[in-house]
Amino acid sequence: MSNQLIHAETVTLVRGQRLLFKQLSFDLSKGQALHLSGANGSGKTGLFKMLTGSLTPSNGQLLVLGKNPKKFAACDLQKIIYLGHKTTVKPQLTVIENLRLSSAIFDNIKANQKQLNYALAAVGLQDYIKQQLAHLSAGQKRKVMLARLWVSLTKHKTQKSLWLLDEPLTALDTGTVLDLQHLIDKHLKLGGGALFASHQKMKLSQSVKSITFAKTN
Amino acid sequence: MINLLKREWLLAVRRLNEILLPVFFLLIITAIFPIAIGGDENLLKKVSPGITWIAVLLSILLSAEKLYQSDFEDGSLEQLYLSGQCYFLAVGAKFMVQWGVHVLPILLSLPLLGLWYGLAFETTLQIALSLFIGSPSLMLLAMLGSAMTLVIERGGLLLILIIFPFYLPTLVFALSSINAFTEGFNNLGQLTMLMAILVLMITIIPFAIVATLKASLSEN
Repeated sequence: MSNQLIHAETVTLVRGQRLLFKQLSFDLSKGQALHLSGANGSGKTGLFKMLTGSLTPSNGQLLVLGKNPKKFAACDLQKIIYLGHKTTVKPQLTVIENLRLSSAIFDNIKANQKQLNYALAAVGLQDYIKQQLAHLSAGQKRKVMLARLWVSLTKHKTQKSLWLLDEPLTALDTGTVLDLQHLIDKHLKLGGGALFASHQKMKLSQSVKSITFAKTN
Repeated sequence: MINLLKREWLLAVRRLNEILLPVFFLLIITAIFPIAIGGDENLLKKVSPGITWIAVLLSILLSAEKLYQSDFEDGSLEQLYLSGQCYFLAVGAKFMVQWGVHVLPILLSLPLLGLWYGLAFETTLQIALSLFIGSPSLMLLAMLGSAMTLVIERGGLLLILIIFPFYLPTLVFALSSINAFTEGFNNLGQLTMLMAILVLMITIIPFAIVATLKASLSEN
């Protein structure tokens, strides 16, 4: 199997009447990370949506895991974890219920209590396991979502080969940012790939490519 | 499927007021009607099936707008799509739990209504039967309406305008079946029609819901 996770060739995205970006070309292979930066509204989230098949490129060719994302089958989607701006957590459920059910439903991972506890401890939520999310802060809610990455890495080390993280550092404290960096490093060492959009730089030991989006008019 | 059901169920039971709302509707409407139309026992017996159906209709209609709203807003719908899970399972899980939350309490409290209005046991049973066959169609239509108005701000009124006309055949055949039974006629024809509507809804509506949800995601 090829080492290439993403291949983008002269990809252009127009939404409505607005050109978000044009002629974007890049490759992402196993063990590599790609950092997207740029102004708000410059098309970073649009690129994530194209990579997951929710949007079609206006022009150019885009291959993810060797396939056109629009033609993804269920098994292709199961190799990807996409964490977007929205937290996907439910305020009525407790921290552990949120993590257990979102890992099972969204990532198809049936984690046991020990693995869930480990993931929650990794994001610093070990003391809030039975708390309802309605009582937690925005940063803590985001941590519950990010804990899915720890569960994924503990349970299926290389099954989720591509991580797509849209603004993963938003509302996180310094300690969790460092922990997340270590986790991404570990994922890359295991042969995974990561593409993340962030206004902050991440210090990863692996090679990090970078693309800066300019705002087009 | 089990995890989807568990999630929907936990979310529903954590909003206890939603479970109690339909029963309160039934109790309030049941209590108000005798005051509004007088204490004529025969008249009350005649209108009681209609009262029950109105309570179910209101309970489903009022919940309809929110059926998919929070899943859409917090990104769960998008994650579900990207998980590669079968969307039909998610629709099925939501349908089962929502029907259980909005209609089952009314079905269970029907014996109370029967006692209150002095209905014969067989009539109460017929009301329950018509609800059992007819209400799933209403719930499926509400889910479709909710999916259709997801990207529209304050789409509640539009939702009611869209789905209400489709409620009428179910309502007409359900009430007609109970009336036929209480007047001593065979109501098998009406019940068969209700069943046919249900089969039609189960065959078509889940596909329409899935297509509409996917379209809403690409709009977002």
